[in-house]
Amino acid sequence: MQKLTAPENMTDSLKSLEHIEFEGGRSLWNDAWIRLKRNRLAMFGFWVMLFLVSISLITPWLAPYGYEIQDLELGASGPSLAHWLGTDTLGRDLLTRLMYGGRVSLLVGFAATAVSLVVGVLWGIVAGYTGGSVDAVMMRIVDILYALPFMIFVILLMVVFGQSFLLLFLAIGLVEWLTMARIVRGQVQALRRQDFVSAAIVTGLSSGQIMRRHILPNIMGPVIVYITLTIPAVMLFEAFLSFLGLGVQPPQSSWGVLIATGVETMEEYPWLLIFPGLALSITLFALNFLGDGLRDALDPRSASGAGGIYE
Amino acid sequence: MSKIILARILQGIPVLLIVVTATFFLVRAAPGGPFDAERSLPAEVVKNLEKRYNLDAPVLDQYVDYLGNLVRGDFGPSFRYPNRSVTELIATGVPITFELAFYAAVIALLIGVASGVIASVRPNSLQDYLPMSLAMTGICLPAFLLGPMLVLIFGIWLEWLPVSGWGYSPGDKILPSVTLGSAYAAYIARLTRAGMLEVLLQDFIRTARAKGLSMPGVVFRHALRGGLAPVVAFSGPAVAGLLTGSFVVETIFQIPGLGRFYVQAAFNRDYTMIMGTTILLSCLIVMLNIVADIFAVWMNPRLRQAK
Amino acid sequence: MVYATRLTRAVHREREAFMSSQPILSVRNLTVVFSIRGRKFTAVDKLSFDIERGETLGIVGESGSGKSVSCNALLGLLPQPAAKISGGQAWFEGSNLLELREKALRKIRGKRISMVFQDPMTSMNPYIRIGDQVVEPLLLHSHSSVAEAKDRAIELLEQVGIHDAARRFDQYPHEFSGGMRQRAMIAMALITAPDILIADEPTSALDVTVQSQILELLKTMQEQHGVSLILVSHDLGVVRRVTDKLVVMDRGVAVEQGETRQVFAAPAHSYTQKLLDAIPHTAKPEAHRFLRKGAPVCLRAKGIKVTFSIKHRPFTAVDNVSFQVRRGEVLGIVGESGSGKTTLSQAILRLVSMDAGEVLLEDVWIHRLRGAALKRQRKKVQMVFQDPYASLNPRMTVHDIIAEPIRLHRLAEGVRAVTAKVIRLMQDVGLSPEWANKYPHEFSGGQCQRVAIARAIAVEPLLLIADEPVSALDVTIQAQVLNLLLELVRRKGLSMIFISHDLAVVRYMADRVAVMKDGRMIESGETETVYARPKERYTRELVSLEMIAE
Repeated sequence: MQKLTAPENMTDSLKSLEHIEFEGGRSLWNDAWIRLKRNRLAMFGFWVMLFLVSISLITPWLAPYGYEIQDLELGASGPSLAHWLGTDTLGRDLLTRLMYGGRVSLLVGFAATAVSLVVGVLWGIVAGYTGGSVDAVMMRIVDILYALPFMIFVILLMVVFGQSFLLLFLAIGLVEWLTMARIVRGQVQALRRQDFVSAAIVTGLSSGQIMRRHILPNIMGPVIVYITLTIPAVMLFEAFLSFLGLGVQPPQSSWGVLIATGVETMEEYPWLLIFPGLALSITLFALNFLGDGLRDALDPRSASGAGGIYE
Repeated sequence: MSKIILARILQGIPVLLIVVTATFFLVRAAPGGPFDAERSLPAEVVKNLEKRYNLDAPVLDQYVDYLGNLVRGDFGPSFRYPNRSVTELIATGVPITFELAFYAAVIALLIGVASGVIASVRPNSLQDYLPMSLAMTGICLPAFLLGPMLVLIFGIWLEWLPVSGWGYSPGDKILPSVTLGSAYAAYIARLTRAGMLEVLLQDFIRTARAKGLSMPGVVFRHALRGGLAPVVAFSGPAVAGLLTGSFVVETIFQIPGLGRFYVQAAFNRDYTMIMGTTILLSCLIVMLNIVADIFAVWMNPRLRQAK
Repeated sequence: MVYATRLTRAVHREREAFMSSQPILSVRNLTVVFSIRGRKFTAVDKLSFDIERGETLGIVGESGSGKSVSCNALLGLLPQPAAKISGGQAWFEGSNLLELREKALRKIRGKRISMVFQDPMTSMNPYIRIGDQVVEPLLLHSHSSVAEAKDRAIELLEQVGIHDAARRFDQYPHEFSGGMRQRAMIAMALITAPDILIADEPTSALDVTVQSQILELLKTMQEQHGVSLILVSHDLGVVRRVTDKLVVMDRGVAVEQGETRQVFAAPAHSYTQKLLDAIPHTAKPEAHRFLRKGAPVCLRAKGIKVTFSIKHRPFTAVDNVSFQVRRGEVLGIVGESGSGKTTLSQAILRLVSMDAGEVLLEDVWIHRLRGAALKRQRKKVQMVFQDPYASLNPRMTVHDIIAEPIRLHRLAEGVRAVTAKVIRLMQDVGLSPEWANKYPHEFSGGQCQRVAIARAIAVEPLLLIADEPVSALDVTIQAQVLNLLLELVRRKGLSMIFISHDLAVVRYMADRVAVMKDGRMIESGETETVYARPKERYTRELVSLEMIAE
């Protein structure tokens, strides 16, 4: 049995504050960051994405040519000093078009994910925390929407209402929020049963305070992981639509549009397919590696970090 | 079990109704009529056309008519091909798309499950890294990129396989099936690995090993059924993905299936055709989702016996 | 013919005499090293023991002492590649188990040496019928036909106390209760007539009354089948009842071994002594006795009823329970899992809603309060939970966890004053204030429980509800936390409701005790009276089980 120190009076405690040397604690975020830094593929993904996003932000000042500047005399030409990645059939600089296309692809990816994030997290938290019949109704709505073949509906929407940019990421975002809502709701439900939430209720915290201080910080992990995996899914879907000619419309371009036009002339000018394809693939690789790495880092128990049973 | 099946099927009905209704009104709400795109037709002709396609009736009547026809399997006439009904057009495309999706699914399941199991048995070894790197490549090389590349390599440069068509020359089904199936093989491989790793950590696996079972015995008798649960759950969305994926693959390889019809109809604003294919595809997806759900219940003895 | 039988018998006897002259399993200097994230630690350090044919050996230790690891090491069941056997031998019938190849080892696993594991809920495959799992070792290791194996399995299932085994053969694990599953596990382990049966904490996941039955069964089966039994447990009571010999392990090292009787009578090592002392088998120490008959009532609960609907069927968790707690008194509530004791405490705390009943806290009826009025009363009743890690928000520092109620109820103004109060509370519960900025995962279970206690007393409550506060902790830590609770109750004049499944612990803590079963409070009274002269049959059963354990 440990000896208990007699309660000191307040001033003593205040005085002793000066003399206490607090040991540094490592939060779970610190831990996760250390684990992430050890994962080389994930860090590769992280730096690639950082690079791509910064390039996209300053494209208008960085691009060597205007993206509609044609050089019909030159036509399609392979990579050269003047045009690092060559030119397309209208003599437009491919590097420039890739940079501008990347802006669009990334923007769609981020914006649609943001839409899904806002709707999904709110929906999931409310359903998960309220529970009972509210939860039942909200999740039944999600179930029904989930059963709808949304991809086909997004295409239909694009066909019917014209290929508007805003509509595109709104539509995609409104598809992706369902999964986000399910993940968040599951997490919130699990957390609600945790004793530390009961302890907070017993302490007297209001629902809002509990949500903010105890629930939100604890669902950030899975949400971040899902965001990193949603962005590539959205970019892929945008490219898919654009490839079919149903997404981003000329004169605007995205990587999907560039790939589609590249396919038409791939026999004669393969670089028009290869470079946009590479750009898209590398981005998808980077985001997926980052997402996998984050999942392993934020959930140390996750399967891929575990040992096997056989030597 | 039978109660669960019944409940799932009953749940599917409102979903199907939503699909049909949403499709119908979405298309009707489209700005401009279906004939606006044409060079300006005389008002008289437009009126006749509208009468022919029942477009002059109140929208609600049209909706009820359309529903009635649907029940009889009649999707109405095509706007673009006035002499053929949508049902006829779809009927020629469905078997082709199904065949394609079936081959792709078989490829995806065989390769995906096998490589996922192989990877999970010895995680973080070469046996894990190799198939998983391939799987990552499969996910990051979408069909619209992989397809043209395969055509370029095997069709044009090596001239081993035909570059387009379906059932016209021997071997022309190989490239489309591989193109469509590869991404799903990749997803299934990752899901299988994750599911197996989860199961292999469970206590009952240790029990099985303590009985003296060999590694294949443990994996196939005790681990696989639980390890494949995520794959079964994925099969619904995968079917939806295969069907929508056929849009791209059929376009690349010029295959006269449902997907190609859909894309063409979308370009031509052939509304009845869009509605027909959308509804048909949606219904298929909804129904296959129900089948996948039922299969998942059947796989789990605890759910199977639930009253 | 008669002669021949006699002869074989004689030969048999002779062989048996020879065999019994040397141990069936002889372990020498077994050493297992784990390397996790580049860090190495020795889980088992030079462990040696012998076990004779038909003998029962106990291996005792707290979690992390290496007792399970050493058993798994014998059969090559260690997690790979984290664990490595770095030395030693284990001689079984002339071969060294530790050096056998996987293929040769498989012929021993499940056939000559079989295992029973801790949690029967997770140790059976949920996808395969019980019967098929039971016959599996026999089909694997012998040439018997499926029908023969099935007959043998049914016979054995009946033996281990599963009635109607022929029908239950085709059921799935989820249709069996925990105790029944453990019986099936034992049948599964015995079906190949092994030489050695290793039981790794076979009763720890079960209820007290079931525990005793399974232990009894293991002992009978061991005698009937003449196997050698290695029983791994953290529970001294369990080991004492069943084993002939004993190995006490502490942090990978066997600190003491010998005849069970002898070790219990005269422990040679200080750690064994500590283990024996850890669980208080006595009444509450006199220093902490402060029951005053005339003390004012702190909390009065009347006719509490809580129902849940489980799969659309109503289930009464707490049924018409009434009791009261006086100021400065410790009320113990005892019951097995599912008896409704936790739900009762949650109802008082308004964590679940009551269907009927009234709760009077001092002079306020708290069962109907809402909003700000409820918030004011909240701080008068605080709770300490079972799982110390789950009861602390993993993303907050210890300082923030303890400071939260202080800030909320404005018990101190200003950053420095709050910190000063947090530090004082940390000192009160025996935590070093330097650790204020650390996070829960950086602490041990016992330390986390101290943090939870500090948070609970931060608001200076009248009543503390402790729900199994030590059952997730190691035995030697348990006593420290229990004493801390008693000390705080006495010094701060708190009342406490102490909930536990463990009669010994409740006896140590409580002034009065109430027994719960199936949602009802079936008996209550002063602790010593209830323990000495239990009125209800159920209470008598519980108390007598507790006696055997001692």
